[in-house]
Order: sequence, then structure tokens, then C-alpha cells
Amino acid sequence: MLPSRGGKTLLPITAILCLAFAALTSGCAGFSAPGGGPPGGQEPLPDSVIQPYAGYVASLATDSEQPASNMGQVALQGSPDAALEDDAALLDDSLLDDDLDLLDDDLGFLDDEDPSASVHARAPDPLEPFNRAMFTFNDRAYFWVVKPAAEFYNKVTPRQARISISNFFRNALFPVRFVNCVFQGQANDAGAEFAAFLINSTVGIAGLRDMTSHDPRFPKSDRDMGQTFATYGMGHGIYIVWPILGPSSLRDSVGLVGDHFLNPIAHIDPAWVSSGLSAFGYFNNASLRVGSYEAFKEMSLDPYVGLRNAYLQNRAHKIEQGSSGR
Amino acid sequence: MKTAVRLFGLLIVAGLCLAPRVSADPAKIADPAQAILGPMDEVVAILADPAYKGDDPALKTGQRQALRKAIDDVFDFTEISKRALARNWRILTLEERRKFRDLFAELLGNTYLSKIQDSYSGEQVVITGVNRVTDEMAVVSTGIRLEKGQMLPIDYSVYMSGGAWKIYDVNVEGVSLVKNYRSQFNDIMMRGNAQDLIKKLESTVERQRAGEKDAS
Repeated sequence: MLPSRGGKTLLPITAILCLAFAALTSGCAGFSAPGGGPPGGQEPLPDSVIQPYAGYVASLATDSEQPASNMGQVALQGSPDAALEDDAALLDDSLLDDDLDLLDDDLGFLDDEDPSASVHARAPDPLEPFNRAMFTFNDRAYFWVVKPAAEFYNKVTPRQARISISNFFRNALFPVRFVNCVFQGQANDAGAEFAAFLINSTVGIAGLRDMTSHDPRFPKSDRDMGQTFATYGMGHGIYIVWPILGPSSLRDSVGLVGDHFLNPIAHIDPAWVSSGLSAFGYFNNASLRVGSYEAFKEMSLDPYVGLRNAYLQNRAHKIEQGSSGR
Repeated sequence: MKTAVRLFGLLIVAGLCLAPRVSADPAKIADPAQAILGPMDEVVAILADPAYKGDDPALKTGQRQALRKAIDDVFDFTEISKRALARNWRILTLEERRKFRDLFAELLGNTYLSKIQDSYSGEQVVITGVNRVTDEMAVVSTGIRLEKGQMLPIDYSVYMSGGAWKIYDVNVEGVSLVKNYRSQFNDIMMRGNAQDLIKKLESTVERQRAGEKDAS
């Protein structure tokens, strides 16, 4: 890549040549090029050569009129050189289109992106060294303990049974969702959660069967206290990775403590039964998702940064869904 | 509102099932849902094709190539690269941009296809909603039916480019792929330069290639 960087000195020359081309093809209105003709001493190019360049040159010309894109000028340097070297390959229409797309420096999409959503999709990470260590710990714990255990568990437990267990734990966590619906002022959703809890606890046999999963009147939502704090205008604070529990933030961690008091399983006595059940519910859910972490890790350049971003985006999405009373 | 959108989506799906498939019809080209559904149907057809069934690894490679071809036209990898790099796009030279785009396209294609290949259980892709943001932009919500009534929801952000709808972002459970990669690219660019980024992308693609060889 270094040679193309070294072409910086050629930039003024190529720019002038481009302007001349622009005048030749007269493709751009209101644009007069100094010189107004082909550079001296050079044979006029046949139309078939000039034609494909018309749009290309026009784009360069309009680009240079926008002061905001002067950063892009640096990046443009490689192309006019190549174009003027009569590179036969570049005369191919499709390749030229491709170049045009690659040369396009318009980043207008950044303005279209919803700025309000980004408040909850962003959190500073001052604890990054600690968080990265926790991430590595969780990564090892997954590959060395959770995954092999889940693979064994999956072999001896039918998938349907695992889904039922997952349904049971979800149903048991109803108070967390209900109270947070109320705290977030979503009366309709609170009512829907309550009705779903009644149906699933009775007809659904203590929540083992999810009777309401396909009913649009009972939208599935994961309300927690972190979201409730968010609806009161609280930001994440900082990003935190907990051992085993994984990605969280200061706000969401405080929320977790609050939700803990609303969790009926946490109130079971003795404590070892309570924590054993919680751990089992957690593990059972993990068993249904074996493979997705591997896929995520494989597609990421830096899985730590990728996971942090995915967590924050997903939280922002849930907060937005919750506040729109879906 | 949401149910209305869903109903609209269902109507479209119903309409598509009844109507004969003529790709030259301009009304259908203008429909973002059809632009997604066409290639997705092709993907499903290739996955279900008995010609690719067998233990020969060459068959798997052939199937993957056919799948890549099916999705290549509807994904605008240049636009995806640009959006994922955001301001860093301007720092890259033309050659770097091209190299980056090609590598990123391979990474995304492989990731996307293995996700679909793994979760595919013989069912069609359904459109669950179409949200026309503007005349030139839309979000097409789709679902792939998994076993036991579960759905894998994938939202495609599409825009009108050269008279056709092209995908510029893929969204799963509120997580935009473009924004996720943007955070990673940004992090690498803050610590290093474009060369480091391309090298890192290269090694991720290599790792993916190696992983696929192990799996087959």
C-alpha cells in the first residue's frame, strides 16, 4: 500500500488533468476548467475512452467543491493516477462503476442514524483491563466447563424437556417483569404479563408449557430494573463484565440487585436450594444456546469489543421497545 | 400499528404465493420485500437441493459457492463496508477500500450463510413486516422458522440503488451488524492504522476458513 501513499505529490497534477477532462466531456454544468482543453502535446482521446470517465470525473469535480470532504482527497490519490496510466482494466464499465462506489465519500448516513437511541447504546469502559480479564475468564469457563457440561446434558435431556424447564423459570420470574412494567408506567403490558402468568401457571402446568407464546396479545418482553432506571433517564454509567454473569453496566448491575428481591426463586429457603435452582435455570438456558457464542466469536475481529457493542445495542433496543409499549 | 405492519407483510407473502414469479415485472422490483424474498427463496432452494446432499466435502464447497452467488447481488458490500467504517472510510485509499470490501464481504457472507445453514430445517423464509422509511429506504423483517415453533428473526435494511433494492445492514434482535463491526473497526483504527485493520480482517477470514474445513 505504501507506493500509492507515495503518490501524494502527483495529486496537484492529476487534479489539473481531471479538470481538463471534465471540460472535455462537458459533463458538469457550471464548472469551467482552467485551460479548457486537452493538455498540450497530448493526442485527443477517442470518445470511447473519454465517455466512461465522464461521471467519474464529474464526481471528482463535485467532490472538490465541497470543503467538508477535503479529508477524502487524501484517500482519492490512488485512483486518478491509475486512471491516467491508461490502465486497460479500468476501461471496463463494471470496474469503473465499482471504483465510483468505492470512491464515494458521502457519509450522510451518519446524520440519519437516531441520536437518541445512542444514549443507551453507549457506555464508557474505564475498567477495560479488568473487563477484558473477566471476558477471558468467562470465555475459558464457557469452553472448559459450561460447554462440555451442556453437551452432556443435551445428550441425556430431550430438547422439549429443556424448553419446558426454560419456560418454567421464565414464568417464575413473572414478578420481575410485572413490577418493572408498572414502574415503567406500561399498564397494558403489566396486564398482559399478569394474564399470561395466570394462563401459563394453570393451563400451562406451573409454567412448563408456554401457552401464550404465539398470541400477539401477550407480547414477550424482558423487563428488568435496568430498563426501568433507563426510562427514568439514567444512563449506563460504565460498562462492566461480571464473572459468569457476563456483560452488564453500573446501572444494569444495580438493577440486577433490585430484580433479585423480586425473584421468587431467590427467596427460597435454605439458600443452597435457592442458588442451586438459579444456577440450574441459568445453565439450562445456556444449554439451549450452545454454539451461538462460538459463531459470534468466529465472526468478530475483537470479540470483547463486539460483545460489548452487542450488549449495549441490545439493551438500547429493549429500552426502546419497552417505552413504546409494544 | 405493529399488527397492521405484520398483516401487511402477511398479505404480501400471500400475494407472492399466488402471483406467478416474473422477475422482469417492474412493480415487483420496486417492492423491497420481493427483493429480499427472491434471493432468500433461492438460498432455501439450494439448501434443500438433493444434488448437494452427501459426505463429499466438494459438494459442501459447491453448495457454499452457489449460496454466495445467490446472495451476492442483493448485498451491497461496498455500502456495508462504508457504513461499517464510517469516518475511517475516508482514511483508506482506493486499493485499501477494495481489499477491505472484498475481505469483509467474504467474512459477512460466510457468517451469514453458516447461520442460515445451521438453523435451516426445511422451512421457507417468511416476511413478517415491511417498514418503508422513505421512498428509497425500507426495513424488511423476516423470520426463518426453526424447530418447535421458534423463529429466527432477521431484519434487513435496504435502500434503492441503481433501480434495485440492496441490503446495507442486517439486524438481529436489535443488534445492527454494521454498528457492531463499526465499534470493532473503530477500536482497531484508534490503536493502529488501516494496514493493521486489513491484517486483522484477513486473519479473521483465515480463521473462519480453517474452522469451516474442520467442520466439514
